[in-house]
Amino acid sequence: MKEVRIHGRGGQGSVTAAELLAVAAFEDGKYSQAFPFFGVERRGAPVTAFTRLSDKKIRLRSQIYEPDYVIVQDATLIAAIDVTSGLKPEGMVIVNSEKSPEETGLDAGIEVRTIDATGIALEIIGRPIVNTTLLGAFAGATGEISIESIKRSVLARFPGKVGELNVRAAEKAYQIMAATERKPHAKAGAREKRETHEIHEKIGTAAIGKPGTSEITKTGDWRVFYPELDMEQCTRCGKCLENCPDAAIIERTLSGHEADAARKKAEELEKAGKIKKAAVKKAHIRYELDPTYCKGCGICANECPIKGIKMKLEEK
Amino acid sequence: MQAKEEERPTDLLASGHRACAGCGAALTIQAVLRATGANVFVANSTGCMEIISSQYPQSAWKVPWIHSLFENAAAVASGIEVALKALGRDEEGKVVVIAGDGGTVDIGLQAISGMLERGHDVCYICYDNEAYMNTGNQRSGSTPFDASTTTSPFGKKSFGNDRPKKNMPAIAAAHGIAYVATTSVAYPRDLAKKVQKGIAVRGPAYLQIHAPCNVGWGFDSAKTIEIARLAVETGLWMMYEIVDGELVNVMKVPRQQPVEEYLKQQRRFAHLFKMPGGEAQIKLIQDYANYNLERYKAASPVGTREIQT
Repeated sequence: MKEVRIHGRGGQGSVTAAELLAVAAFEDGKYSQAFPFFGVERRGAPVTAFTRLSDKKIRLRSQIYEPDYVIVQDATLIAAIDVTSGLKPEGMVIVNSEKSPEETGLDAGIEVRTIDATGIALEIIGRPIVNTTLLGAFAGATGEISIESIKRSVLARFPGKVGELNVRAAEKAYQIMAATERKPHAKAGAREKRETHEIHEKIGTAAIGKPGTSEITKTGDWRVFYPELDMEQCTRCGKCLENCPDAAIIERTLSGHEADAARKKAEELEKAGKIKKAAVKKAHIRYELDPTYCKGCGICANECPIKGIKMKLEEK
Repeated sequence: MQAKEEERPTDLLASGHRACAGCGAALTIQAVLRATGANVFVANSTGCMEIISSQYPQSAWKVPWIHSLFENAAAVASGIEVALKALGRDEEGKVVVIAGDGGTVDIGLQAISGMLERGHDVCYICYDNEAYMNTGNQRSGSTPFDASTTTSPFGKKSFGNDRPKKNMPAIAAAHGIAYVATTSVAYPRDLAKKVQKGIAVRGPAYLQIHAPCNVGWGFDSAKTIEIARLAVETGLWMMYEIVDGELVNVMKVPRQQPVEEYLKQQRRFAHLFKMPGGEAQIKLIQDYANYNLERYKAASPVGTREIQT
């Protein structure tokens, strides 16, 4: 039996990928199983899904703690959670990244294969939907499943043009992976099984002891776009603060030299006719983005009455 | 760019909660808690706001908070209220229910009716995102007419949800309670004022707050407030108070927008613009909006009164 764990973010189709893989295995004449981690994860939040493939009937019904293969749909997850938790010594990690395996930040002792699935998906499908592309890469890299079955599975789920584009993307990823030589395995025993960490915390009692502890969850890494605030033009109306669902815009009042400098600069700008008088009076008040929690929804930019907030693509 | 700890705002719903980007309901809860202040006891029914705020072992709440079941937040709140009285601690704060529309107009209706009937000193706040969004967009009694949801999908024989929105504020008012109000996340000052009235009143109060869900309704996450505002400006969401049984303070709609402006931006109504017969359905929705302005006497001659934001 081979066990596959897929890490992605809500909205990236991790659960769909797990199901497509299971159907493909069935097409190959295997027994298979696919299921998600049952959590409350939302669009952008880390999501986990699992697939088991076997030549025999699968009796196991637990989560996968010690996977043979891990698929990482979003490389930013490597910094956020332990994607290699429990990975078997001979296991492999497939990461969606344009970088080389060495640059992923994963331990050198692990067999890592990378593929620019986002690039392939954008080129062929026209959207950064990477799950089917990565299934092609999985077939090419592991040989556990035939690409024909992956194609049949994708087409059955997504008939018509959408399915065909996804199949082409999967095919391309398959060819790239199949053509790349796999690094020889380290000798048996040279590598150790990865330590198992609870990716999702265990539940003990039904009470939460401390208030406001959600702040340890840095929701900023869900973001694709971030708001850039133009503090010169800003009239400090407060609409961006008021309309942030994540309290990620912070008001800071400058004092002393800092306040004087800000006022002076604003006065100069006003003289030059670049900003309105209202902005000068409140020059000592600053609005700042808290990148730790901003999810990049864009409400602040949409509601800013002077259109002084621009959404910029986050560089990852 | 990293903000320092002491500069964090004093929001009583902490950052790090798992609401989707651009969540109208999370924004609603923040606004509600800004208006109530810290001296509240919150009973929260099952739903989005419970799930996103309390992933074990974390909590986003900085006020006393309890979650029990989908159907019984009003009963739990009733119990807290009488317990505080029995302990002589009722001056410590107001008991507040925060529940979604599913937990309010469908599953929790019996418990709410009991709470209102017994006259508990509880302010009940329903954030209305017009379907069961936590489980992925199933129709609730608060889903508007012709909205397509997973349990009221459009198709050859259906334009989506075939029932109008249940008039829950009227049901609450029928219990003879002192204060009922509707408001919207797009009007934070109106929202704050009404929450404070609901807190101040002795005995039960009922508030329903329109809170768009960009994922379930299908619009860009940046447009949560814009969509909420359009619901008011088209006449599809009315803002009013019912004080001691009398309809008062209806927010006027000086320049009514055509309902298409609201409908066309949302995936849940997209079929109305594509299907044969869709035009007639949009006309029905427009008639409903016009009827709203008429029955709440919200229409006003152009330019006489602006909507206050």
